[in-house]
Amino acid sequence: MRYIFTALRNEAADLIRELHLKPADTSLQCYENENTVLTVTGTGPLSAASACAAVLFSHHVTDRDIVINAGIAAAIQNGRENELYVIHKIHDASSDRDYYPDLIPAPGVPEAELITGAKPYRASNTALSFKSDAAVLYDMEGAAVFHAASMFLPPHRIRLLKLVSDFGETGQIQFDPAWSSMIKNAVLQEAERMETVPPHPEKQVPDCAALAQELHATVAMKRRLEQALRYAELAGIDWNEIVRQYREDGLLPSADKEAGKQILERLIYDIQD
Amino acid sequence: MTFRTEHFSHIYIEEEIRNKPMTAQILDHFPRAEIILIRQYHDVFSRSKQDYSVQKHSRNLILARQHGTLLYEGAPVCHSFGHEHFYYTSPALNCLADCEYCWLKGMYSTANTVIFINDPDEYLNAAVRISERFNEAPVFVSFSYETDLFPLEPLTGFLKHLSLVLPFGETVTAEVRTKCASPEIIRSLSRCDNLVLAFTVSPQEMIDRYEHGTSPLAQRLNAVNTALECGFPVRLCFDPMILFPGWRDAYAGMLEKIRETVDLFAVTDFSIGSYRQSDQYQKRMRSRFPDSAVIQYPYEVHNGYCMYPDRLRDELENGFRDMLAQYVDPKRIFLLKEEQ
Repeated sequence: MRYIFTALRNEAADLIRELHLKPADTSLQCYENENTVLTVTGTGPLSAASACAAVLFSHHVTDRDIVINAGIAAAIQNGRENELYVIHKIHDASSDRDYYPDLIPAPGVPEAELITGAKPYRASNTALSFKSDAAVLYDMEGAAVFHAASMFLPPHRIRLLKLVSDFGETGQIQFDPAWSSMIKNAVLQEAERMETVPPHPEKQVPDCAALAQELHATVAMKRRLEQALRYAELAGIDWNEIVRQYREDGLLPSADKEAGKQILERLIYDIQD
Repeated sequence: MTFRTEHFSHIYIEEEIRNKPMTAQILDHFPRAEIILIRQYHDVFSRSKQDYSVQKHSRNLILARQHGTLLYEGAPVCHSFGHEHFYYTSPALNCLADCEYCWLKGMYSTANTVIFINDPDEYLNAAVRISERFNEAPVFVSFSYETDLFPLEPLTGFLKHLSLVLPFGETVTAEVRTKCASPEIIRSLSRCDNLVLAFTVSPQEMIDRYEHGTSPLAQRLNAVNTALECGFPVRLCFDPMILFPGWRDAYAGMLEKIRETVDLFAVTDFSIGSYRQSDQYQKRMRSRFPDSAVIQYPYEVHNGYCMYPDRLRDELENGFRDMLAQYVDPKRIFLLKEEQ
């Protein structure tokens, strides 16, 4: 599932249209289809963090899902107007904390640092010093979304995409409708790239209920048996053949739990012999 | 020497070392990397919920400076080779190889590598101070405890520098252990008696199964010969020994190959140890690597460490020791069980 967060409805307009997202039945401003939930959080870190946490919690996200926060930002160092950046470092100005997403290297996609503050950036009255020559952008949601999403997802499943709308010189930003299209294209492209990363493999538990019964296995013995059979399967060892031989030799079913324990240890030896 | 640059698209640098010459030297290898300044390496290295399996395909590099304690006492499950004062140090954290059984995967949740921009002199001075504390007693320091320094050498030049300063620390014996077979790096080192080049040697079947991204056995043995030709003390480490289908023949075959290739009388000593892992790390690794056979083996837990059942452990370690002892002085064979 793709979870997309924007601060403004304008930023999300083209995504909503392109993906045919429908308003969801919720108190949040959410739009969804079968594989995307887009949330317009409102501006500011509190709105962004609470909306993000609420959506991810209520949808029971797993590490197969992705989160993208996209929107406009002010460039405060080396950023180019109307350029869209993937964020590789996020600084939360309120808590003085830094966050680092894991990116998939993509040639030609510019990267930037992001500072998230609780108040709009004004070049004239905000004193910030920069230690690197990287492009540095400023927004009011990025760190908040990253922080909230990090409670649910690994750093390679969270991405921030920021479009430079201004340089913080004026109070009012006139939203350019072309930005919505640029955001849409970048989000869809990045989502596709993120989804090429396979999810963490799931543990395969061999079916050993019948064998455990034959061994009169306790819970601990059953766990050890599962572990042994999982190993055998991964190592390419045919444990069924060994067990079949035990049955032929009259070792199985075992007389009782104690005998079962000895057979289990023998099985562990035999699968490796 | 060149470095393969498919990794390290992003390089994180602690602010305090951004202008160090060694930082610049490393960055020269990666002209297209994104440089990201950080306050301290833990901010990136120790993030929660990182996924090794994802990161290993595109590792990132972290350059940092190590402060405070530089040497730590060696763990009881590691070989001390008869040294009373056994320490380890970590000029780098994590390894570029991908050995499935590596304990670093239980300790760290990341595939990213940290290189500390500290001079080898600092580690040597710390070891000499320990030796002085024990009336000039010999001190054994493992430099490859949490990394393999050889693949990083083209970037850091650390081993070359270490080989130049070690003669000034007569009471210190340094061991650098590797699965990387680079005669070029070995030849670049300055010969010294207290630098032990230790080669982890495994059957090719085990390398294929579990030691991804490391050099093949034949190349490792060539590197062993280069080290012997250069006059370094050489250690062969059969450690960890791992069970896999056909292990008996594989280990016997490996020993044959070694005998054919290497002058065993010239090798300083040999270490033998079967797989062991902190129980805590093993649990983490089982959940992180559900499809790795070596991780999913039903180990027994003894004193907080996962090990093979006694009978199999004896067969592995004693069986191989007995085979090896036919060709070398048994006094030069260090069996972990006997050292503990």
